Amino acid sequence: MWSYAIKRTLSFIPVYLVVVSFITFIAWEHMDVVDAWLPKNATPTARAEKMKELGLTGNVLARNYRKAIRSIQFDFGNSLAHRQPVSEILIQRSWVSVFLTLPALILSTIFAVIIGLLSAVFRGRPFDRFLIVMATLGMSVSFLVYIIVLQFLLAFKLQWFHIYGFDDNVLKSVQYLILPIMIQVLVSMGYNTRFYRAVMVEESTQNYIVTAYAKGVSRFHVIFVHMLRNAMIPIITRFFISLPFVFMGSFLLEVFFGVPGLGSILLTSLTGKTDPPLIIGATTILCTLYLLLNVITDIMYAVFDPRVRLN
Amino acid sequence: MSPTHVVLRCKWCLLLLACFLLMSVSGCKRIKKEYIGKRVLRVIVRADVGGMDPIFLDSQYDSATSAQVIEPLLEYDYLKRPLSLRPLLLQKMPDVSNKGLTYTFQLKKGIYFHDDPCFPKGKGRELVAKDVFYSFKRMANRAVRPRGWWVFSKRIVGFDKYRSEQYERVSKKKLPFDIDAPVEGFKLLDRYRFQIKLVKPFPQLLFLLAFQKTGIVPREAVEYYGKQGRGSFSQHPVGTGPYTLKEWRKGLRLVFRRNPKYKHSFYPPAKSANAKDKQEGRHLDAGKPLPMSDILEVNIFQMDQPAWLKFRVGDLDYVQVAAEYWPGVFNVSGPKKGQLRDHIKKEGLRAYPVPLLDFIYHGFNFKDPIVGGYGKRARYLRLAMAHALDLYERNRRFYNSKNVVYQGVIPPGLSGYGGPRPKPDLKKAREYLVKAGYPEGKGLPPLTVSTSSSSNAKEQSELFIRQMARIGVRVRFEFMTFPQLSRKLRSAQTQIFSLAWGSDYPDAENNLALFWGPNSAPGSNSWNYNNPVYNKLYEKARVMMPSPQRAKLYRRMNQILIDDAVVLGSMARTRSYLANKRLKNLKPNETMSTFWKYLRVPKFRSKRR
Repeated sequence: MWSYAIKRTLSFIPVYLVVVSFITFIAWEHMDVVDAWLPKNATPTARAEKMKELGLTGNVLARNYRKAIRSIQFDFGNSLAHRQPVSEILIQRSWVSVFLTLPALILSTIFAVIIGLLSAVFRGRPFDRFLIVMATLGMSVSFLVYIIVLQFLLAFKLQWFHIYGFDDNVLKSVQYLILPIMIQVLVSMGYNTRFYRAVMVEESTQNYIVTAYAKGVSRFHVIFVHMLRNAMIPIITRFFISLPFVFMGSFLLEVFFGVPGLGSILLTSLTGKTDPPLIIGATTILCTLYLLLNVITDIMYAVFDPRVRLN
Repeated sequence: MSPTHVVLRCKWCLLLLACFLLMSVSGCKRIKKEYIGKRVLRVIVRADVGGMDPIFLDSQYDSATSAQVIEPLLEYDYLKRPLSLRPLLLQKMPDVSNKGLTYTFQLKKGIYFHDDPCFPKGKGRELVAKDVFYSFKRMANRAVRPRGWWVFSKRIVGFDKYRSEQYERVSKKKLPFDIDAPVEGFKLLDRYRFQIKLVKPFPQLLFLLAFQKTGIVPREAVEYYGKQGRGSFSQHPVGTGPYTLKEWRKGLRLVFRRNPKYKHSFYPPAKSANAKDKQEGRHLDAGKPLPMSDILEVNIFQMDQPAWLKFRVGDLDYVQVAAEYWPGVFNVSGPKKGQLRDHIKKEGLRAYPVPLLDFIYHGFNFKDPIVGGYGKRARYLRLAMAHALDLYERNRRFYNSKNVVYQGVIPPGLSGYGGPRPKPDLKKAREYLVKAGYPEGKGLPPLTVSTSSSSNAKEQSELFIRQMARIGVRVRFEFMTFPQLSRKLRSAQTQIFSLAWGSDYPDAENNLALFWGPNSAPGSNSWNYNNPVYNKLYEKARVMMPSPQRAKLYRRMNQILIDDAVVLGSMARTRSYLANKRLKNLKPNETMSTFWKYLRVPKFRSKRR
């Protein structure tokens, strides 16, 4: 297994190098950095000075090569907007994002798998139809609508939750995060339920299920042990593919609920004054996590399904 | 087994969920424990704060928060309108001599920097004249990429030379920036007095000395927090301001605590208050020590809804009314149009319109072969479009009629203002079009307006296209990012462009400079307007001290621009602020960063809000 993990990780190195070099080039050369950071009455001299400051003079390939080499080594420099090392920002902000998005991802996966299972088991019955309608409704309504309506109703009108805020103390911050997590779970449930239902429906028609019933295994045991275990591969894939994005946060939830995570500043660094070091830093981390989690996903396959051989 | 049966077997999940909900419900109606018995002012900024070091300020929100800790030499009189300057760290307004070239300043004695570990024994020392030069010279250190050199550029004798020499020293000789090296135009007279010599007369210098970018900082703090592992001065600001930074949760809030040593600033005198100020009780603190709150909580909101809801539950003391909340707050029709709705009034909420020094317009590129130039044909075409444009409709449809529509380039409230814009006149517009040789638009190719994509730019473009179509002028819009538009303007590649300019200081010179020939692209004169008569008048007016003669020149220059139809304009935004009844003394003003210290709030008595 270890040799497989090492081989797979090494095979990702070219992908990593290409992605980081590409994003470095795009962020510095094609996002109007100089114009974005010039004052409104800038002279041509000021522009030339700014280009020099940002290291945008000289040969295009040479300057981007130098920048890419630094990014590959996780040396992203200082954020232009925050005047703080990018690595510091990523660490400070991503744990806040994780605090918001990871519980949401775990909860929505658990609920969606359970509901998907039940829906598959009671396929075609009113309970299943009701769940399908709810899932479709969840998918059809915009995330923004859920946020606006639920924040207004539950936090403002009923005052059950905080409207806005966060606390560095993990326990105290729970009270601020419940509503955004609930909304995130609610929204992702739509997609997840339909996906997991399809997976479970396929599993429920397999011969081993019929065999288990024939042997007199209880329905609960069949559903939650046999069926669930065999459906783990798509569940693991979906869960681990979503994990890297957990660190990048959720822009809408963060700006509406005052969660100072990575999502909001990442979006600002793209849509406001372009902040290449931050964009490159976040993309590099995302790329690294994505590649590493791919390896972990493969290993998890072998753990959950003994038929899978890692060689 | 039924679905209910399965769900019941997972009842622990429901129990856990209920516990979480209970935890959440508790506490959301309470005032923070540390706020009880204290006067806490809770305000809002609309974007994240990057830092508070004056030389790195990048937005009005950076400036507003920095101004609570670090102060410039001058400030605007909080009550007086039109805006006028008054001393803040200075004993009196500077003496101007040598035909407007020499400014002599005297600092107030007994102003102390905040107590901070950067000082010996943690005790803040007295502010002295050399701190001023130290703070100004920091802006000349190109190696640290300060954002605001333009404030000093080409204004002070020897300062540009000092900057170049220092850059040479740092970049080529790899030596440290020498902040102690002399600058010819900076002269220390004694511990509290200093002199600044200008390259040429520049009456607007005083406005620049009220900019937060020229705030005065102690060298000890910059050096102490500049060391590895101590963050940076931007994150640990130290100054002479009314508050000290207590907590900064990036992206969420900043909490400031009252500076107990702050004694050098007083509420403006009664003579600064107008009749409305007196009617609303803003004169009651006149001449007294400032009614500053014990704690200042600055909340960062990027979205309108949470800010509005927080205000409505009483967690914020004032808020800007966003367009979507306008109809719920103000009457939009009938005799009480524009006034607060009754239910809002009953709650004791008060509205404050805040006119901005704005110049929103469509401009013509004078280098363009069709709409540009000084010939009759192009001028008639521009005039035709100017007469067809209905900015009042735009104001009504997009801004609830709260903006000010005016003619020329000088916003209301400034000397030289040209008055309201005349209503559109389609008959005249068609006549001009005939004179231009394009009867009913025949022979005129479609014109292109370049604009940056904003939230409702598309909708506004449709209105413009429709209004121009009424006289037969066909227009198409090209949307781009702001940096792309800037690049296009700098290379004079636009035909017509849509932009806005906010005056840096309350002097029309700031707007009139935009049309000065030598400022043409790639400079700030995006119109590439180069009229010798106008240029001469501007060169004469820009060195004049405020006077009726200068106002006359401003009016004349404004009229030249109107006659040449250089812009299709203009409009100035008016923001609407809404305040809770507990807040006193509010007179919002977006040019002044320091006004939070004038606001009065009562103490929090109970835990429930």
